[in-house]
Amino acid sequence: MPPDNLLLRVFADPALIVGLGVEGWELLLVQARTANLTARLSYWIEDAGITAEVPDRVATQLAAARVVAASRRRALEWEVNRLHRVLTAAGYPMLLLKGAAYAVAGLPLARGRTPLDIDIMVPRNLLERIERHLVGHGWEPAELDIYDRRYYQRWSHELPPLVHRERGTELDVHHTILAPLSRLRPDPAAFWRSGVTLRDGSRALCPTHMALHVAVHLFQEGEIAGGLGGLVDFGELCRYFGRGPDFWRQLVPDAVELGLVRPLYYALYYASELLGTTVPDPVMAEASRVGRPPAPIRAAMDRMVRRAMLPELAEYRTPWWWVSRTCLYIRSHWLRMPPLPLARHLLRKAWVRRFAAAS
Amino acid sequence: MKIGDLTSDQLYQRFGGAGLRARIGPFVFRLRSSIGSFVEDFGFAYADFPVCDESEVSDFRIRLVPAPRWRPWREAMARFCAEEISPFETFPRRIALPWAEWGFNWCIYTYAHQFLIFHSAVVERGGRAAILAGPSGSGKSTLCAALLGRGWRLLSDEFALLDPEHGWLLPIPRPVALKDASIELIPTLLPQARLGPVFAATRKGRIAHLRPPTEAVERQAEPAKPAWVVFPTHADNAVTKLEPLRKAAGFVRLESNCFNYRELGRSAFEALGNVIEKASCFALPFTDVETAAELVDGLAEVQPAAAVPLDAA
Amino acid sequence: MSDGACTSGQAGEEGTVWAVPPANGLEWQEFDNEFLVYNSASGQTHHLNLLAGEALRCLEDEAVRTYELVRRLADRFEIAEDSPSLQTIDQLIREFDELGLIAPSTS
Repeated sequence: MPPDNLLLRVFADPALIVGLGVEGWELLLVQARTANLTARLSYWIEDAGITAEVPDRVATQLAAARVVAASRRRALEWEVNRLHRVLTAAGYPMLLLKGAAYAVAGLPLARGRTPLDIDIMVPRNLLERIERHLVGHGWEPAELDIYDRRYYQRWSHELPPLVHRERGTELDVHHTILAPLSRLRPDPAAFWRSGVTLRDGSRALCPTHMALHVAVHLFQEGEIAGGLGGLVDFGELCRYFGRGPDFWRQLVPDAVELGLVRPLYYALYYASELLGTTVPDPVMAEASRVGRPPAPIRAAMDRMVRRAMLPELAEYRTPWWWVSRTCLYIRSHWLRMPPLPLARHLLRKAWVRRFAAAS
Repeated sequence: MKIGDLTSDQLYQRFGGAGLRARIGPFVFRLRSSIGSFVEDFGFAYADFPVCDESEVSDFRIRLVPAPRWRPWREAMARFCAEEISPFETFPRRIALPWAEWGFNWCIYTYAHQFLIFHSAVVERGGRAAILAGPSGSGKSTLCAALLGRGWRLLSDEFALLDPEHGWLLPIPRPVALKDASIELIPTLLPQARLGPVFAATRKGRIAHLRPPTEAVERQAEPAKPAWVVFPTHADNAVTKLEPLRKAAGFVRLESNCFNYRELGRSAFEALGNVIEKASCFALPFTDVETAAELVDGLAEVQPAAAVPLDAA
Repeated sequence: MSDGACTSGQAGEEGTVWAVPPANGLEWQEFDNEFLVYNSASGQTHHLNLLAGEALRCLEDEAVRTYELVRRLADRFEIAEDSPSLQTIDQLIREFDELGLIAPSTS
């Protein structure tokens, strides 16, 4: 009997937590922690209006997960801030991808995420100049081991990730986002043209391109990447943008234009099948018509997907390496101290000013 | 009911079945394992801790499982899993308890962000707590054990758990891990010490666990507020003395011993500031742990009003 | 995120007006004339000596050019504008900018 993917079922129907016993809550927490979805789960429950159903000891664990997510989001938005200071101030355009875009756009799906790095897209003809500029302002190329190198070659990012010398944050600079999977090799200009401008002046992908980007990443050739979190992302993007008139109308045509009908079909099918995401019938029908593969391929994919959605048992995972903090978190600013008599003078003046103001 | 009240059979049954639920500090641990030697070692070290019933949702779900041995002549191996995550490589089954202790540490600093967590021992006397902060090898465990011998209550050997809202330190009086020379030294300072078996050839040398004093465990629900922050550093030729620190320096140094300062953001800044405002900070280089313990003892003799002199370095 | 982030301006350019962006939401603690400052936008904490702390406080109060800051600090501490302590203000501004504590001001 296959193990119970309670986490998936709760994302599909949060009301399942009502009356959940100790064993159920513990299974849910284990699966959420393994899949790194604890904070997102807590927002799901909150949005469903059933926070009162959560036992105290569980609520503590959910709140603790939110603390981590909040700090990652703060760090992510700060990276965007710093990139503006360095790139935008120098006149270079920048388009935010994935988590950074969700956060700056204030999308509900940004809550509870724990991004570890930041992805941006820049024009191809400026790629080398931008890299030089970044390197001149505190970033340096990351040291890659053989596995990482293979990943970057495969995805043709061309530019290995950059790491900020002091903050230690990782930056991936892309010039396009859908090669090599898309057979049509879409012109990135399409992404810039359709792109939207966010409140801080950043650019981001338009809603359909955002959703397609997630679908592509999820349903890569031969493997599923991103697991349940990725599928939840896709479902949430559909739910959020689907409230407007254009999203559903444009989704399949855009996929056709970019050669991404197969990943879109899978994403729509599994989001509706596993998560209960509402996909309008005509859209599903059209996506099937253009993107559904033959039955044997569907069957193989189905097995892979269901396995990928379930958080793995520890015995089958590789050791989990943790990045240790390398630098002292507090930064000191110590000007050369003036000679002692002057120091006393300064101290006295400061004391007088402070207490004089108070009296 | 305490863990020590269970018979061997009952203990094995719980570990091998739905799990043993134990309240350790502010946490409920759910532990499962089929490794007999580990169950026994754990049962001894944690005998005084209360057992919880199945109606309590646990904070951490832990399994210690046998791991396949790839080469027949290698010794039997085991794996530590928390929430189906395996943070470490496999390790020999005979040293499962030290590894489990590191695993419990991992759980706490990975998940317990309801607290501001410092790498430090915490002891209490007269209602006031001393945070003994420092990395591994600083001598804080040894100093902590010596202070227990002088009547201080154990709140923790490994972590200070600070409730950011109220400024209390929550006890988690787990077994004190003694390494190498301390294993022989501590019973001389703490005659009533109950030591578990010595584990050889762990990644940190020889390790033995000092069972926490029964009273410390019985009072594990009693928090304390920090009055002193001490940074011990053990070295072979140090001059043992208490050196008062400037408060801002104390803040910076205590932050460097904090696991999750960045995660807690503003509330960490405020909580740490409150600790530093009310506590006195000292560096304590030492060679001889008895002298060092005597100096810390001396702090408790001083009433709160007599704080650090203004012209301290 | 930060006001004025789109304006170009480098430390050392005479005309740049510097200020602490309101979004930073600085929190201060002081112990014996040493400052600890928390920047809620970056989540970073900084340890400042008296002069650096006063400089940052000035920039939090209003937007100023570097030479104006020097003048204000000289006034506040009643020292000469060309005294050794104030020679390093340029460098301090650069560091504050790099850390995101201040940014060129549009207003």
